[in-house]
Amino acid sequence: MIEQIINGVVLGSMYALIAQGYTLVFGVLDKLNFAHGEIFMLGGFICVASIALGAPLPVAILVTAIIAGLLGLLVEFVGFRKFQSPDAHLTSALSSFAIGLVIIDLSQKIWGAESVAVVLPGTLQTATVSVVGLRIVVLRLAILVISLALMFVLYLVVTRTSLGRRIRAVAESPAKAALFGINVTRVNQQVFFIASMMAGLAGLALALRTGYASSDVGFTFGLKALAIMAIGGMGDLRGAVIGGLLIGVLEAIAFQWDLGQLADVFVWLFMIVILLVRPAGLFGTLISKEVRA
Amino acid sequence: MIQDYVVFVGVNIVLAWSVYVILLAGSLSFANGGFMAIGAYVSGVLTVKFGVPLVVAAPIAGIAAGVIGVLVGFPALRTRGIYLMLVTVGVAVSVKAVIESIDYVGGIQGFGGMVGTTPWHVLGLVALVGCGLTLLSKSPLQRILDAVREDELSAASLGINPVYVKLTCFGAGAFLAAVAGSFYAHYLIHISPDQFGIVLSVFIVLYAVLGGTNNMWGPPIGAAIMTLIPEFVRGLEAWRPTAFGLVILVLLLIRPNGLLAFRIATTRTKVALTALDFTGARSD
Amino acid sequence: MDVCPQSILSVDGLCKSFRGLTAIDSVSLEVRRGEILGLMGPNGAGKSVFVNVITGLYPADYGAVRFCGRDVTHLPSFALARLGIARTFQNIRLLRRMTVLENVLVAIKDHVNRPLGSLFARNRVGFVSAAMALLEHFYLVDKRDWLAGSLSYGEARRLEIARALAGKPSLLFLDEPAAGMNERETEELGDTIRASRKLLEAIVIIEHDVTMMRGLADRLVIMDAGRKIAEGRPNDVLAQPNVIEAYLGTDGADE
Repeated sequence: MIEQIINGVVLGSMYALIAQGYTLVFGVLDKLNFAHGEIFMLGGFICVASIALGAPLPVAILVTAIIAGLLGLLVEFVGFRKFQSPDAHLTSALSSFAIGLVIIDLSQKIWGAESVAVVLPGTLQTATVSVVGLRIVVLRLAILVISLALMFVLYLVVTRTSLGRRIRAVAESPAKAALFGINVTRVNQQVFFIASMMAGLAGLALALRTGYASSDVGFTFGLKALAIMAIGGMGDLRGAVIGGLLIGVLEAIAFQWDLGQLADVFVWLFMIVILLVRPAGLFGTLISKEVRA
Repeated sequence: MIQDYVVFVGVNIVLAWSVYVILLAGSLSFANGGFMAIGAYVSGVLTVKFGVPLVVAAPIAGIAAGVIGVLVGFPALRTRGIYLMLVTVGVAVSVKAVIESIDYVGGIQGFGGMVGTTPWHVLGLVALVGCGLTLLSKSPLQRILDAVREDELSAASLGINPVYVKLTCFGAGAFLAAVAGSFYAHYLIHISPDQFGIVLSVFIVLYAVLGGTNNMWGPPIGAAIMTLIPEFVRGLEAWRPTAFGLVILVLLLIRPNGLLAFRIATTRTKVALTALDFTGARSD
Repeated sequence: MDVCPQSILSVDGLCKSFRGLTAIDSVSLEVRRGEILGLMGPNGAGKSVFVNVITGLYPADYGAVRFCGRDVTHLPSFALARLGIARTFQNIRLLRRMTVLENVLVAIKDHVNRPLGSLFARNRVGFVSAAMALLEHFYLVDKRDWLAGSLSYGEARRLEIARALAGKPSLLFLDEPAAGMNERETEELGDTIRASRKLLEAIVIIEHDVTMMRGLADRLVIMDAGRKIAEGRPNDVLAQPNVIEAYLGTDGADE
């Protein structure tokens, strides 16, 4: 049971990373980025490619983060900056979706439609360590630690740095932030970079954990993280983390009892209920977005 | 085969219209792929397992989807913009997930045996819906929809019940998507849940938006173009999805209001003025 | 047609708070048949909130509203409109992308009530003539095919009022109709309202412009900080010390 919970936390931390990315973009732009899940997917492949090209793991991680971040900048430019009309939330959603499709297709062209195995040097993949009497795969532990570290760093950035202040200002009101001299476009770019970087790293984490990179994870995990964001609280980073971890653990337990499919339906139905009953999400505070809409 | 074209374009036209009627009332739906699936499966079960003829099964499936649409819509339509988008996405994903878990209809494998759609069925459906929408655009109901879409608060102060209007349109959209889905299923003979994923729902919205939502002819044009483009760029066979995605992007960028961005306001005004002449109205 | 008693609208102890802040605190008033009632008071007095609660935009926390003797406290906006309570908005909410004529047509009684029925509505010619008659009354006939968004401010106001009357209401609330108007426009507005008097049972006007209201209203109700502080004939009420004080505190420069 404990092992399942740990698995759940690992899974949940991955969800949390992706969900935070959705939340960041929603927070500053009030829009949904449907390409986000595909950048997550691509993270796994970039990892595979880097390792295949001989890079040691830390380098692969760095490369994945940077390329994912840069891709995020591209998505922001093509899919979001150009759409500013009143129904931009629809057109950006559609355009980011289109970008997502292109990403899937390109990755299938490059790596084929089948899953690609991650080949790690030596015994890295299977090394285990004994912690409190349980055998835990080192890799999973590392992933967990890194994911939690990333979330912590993000927390620090958002709450303690000037970048974080600017992000929060734009999230509250782009118009007011601009009046204070904040370069809103620059902040948007930075947010996209950070969000996409985290998504890419989450994809890398998934690939390492399962041993495979595959091109359909964007729609399975990626989209579900969207539901998690809504459950945790739209625009609330804390909610994304708590929601992600919670759902991750619940799913792991559900899989244990062979209720995997039910867990899927449950998450989406739960999201619908939350949005209808308490749009702020479980942990979010209601920011009256109607004012901005 | 020309038959394939007629059926697929026709089905997609009706699907595009199913989103259009929802957009008309100022709502949004990324769930119509789900309603289409409901239509396909319900009609499939009726014809295959109960021997109901297609032309009876399709409307029944439509009504089933319409009822579900209204039930879902009632709480959902209190939300706006992004939230409504998410809720409808959730509906589409949930429908697929629920269908996958029902063994009676074959679960993940799906089931088959559905026959009966001819191009005439589809053409007839397109004509029927087209006439209905034309009738709508010339009627006072069109103005009511415009009012609700533009400013719900204002419309309510005039005595229009915005919830009722939006729900009716939502249910109508679900109905149309389901009937289209029924014909689609009975042409493909075998259906499975993975044909009705979220991608389908988004594509349906794209048909309507890319074509232009200012009048009823935009969505069919968007649907026709998006259905036929892949066929006509056969040279790019392997790169079709990428090319497709890029085309969508380009279209969204250059014509954010869709390909048919002009407003046929004159239809309504003409009617008003003709009516005036008829009454021998006062000269100004 | 309902036979309304002398008191067409009676509001009893209406209360509304937003997140702990009281906007209106136990306000009662009565609107009598045939009168033009002015609702005045300094900024933030709660006049708009009061009207918004009565017309169904916000739910009341406490209190009751009776229209023609019937309890309408918890009815939604559209239901109230169908019963005969119409309103205009402070920030003119016209359907800007529709024509002037269409704006009025959409509000014509008899097809609004049954949207689906209007799909096959037969009396379209009747609707159009009724709309044209209203437009004539408000001097907007020449601009019937203009987009509502292209009208001047004064014309837009008139259109809004015309549209509100298309539903044949008994009671009309005008929310700061003279906002942003110069003296000449305000005078014209006053004339328009006076000319519309006979089409309605009663009119309630929220306004800041003391001069206009002095000449237009039969009775005034003054609000301040969410409460009613005075009620009566304009000249009597406007001379009361507590009213003058309430105004001098914020914008007594109106006079």
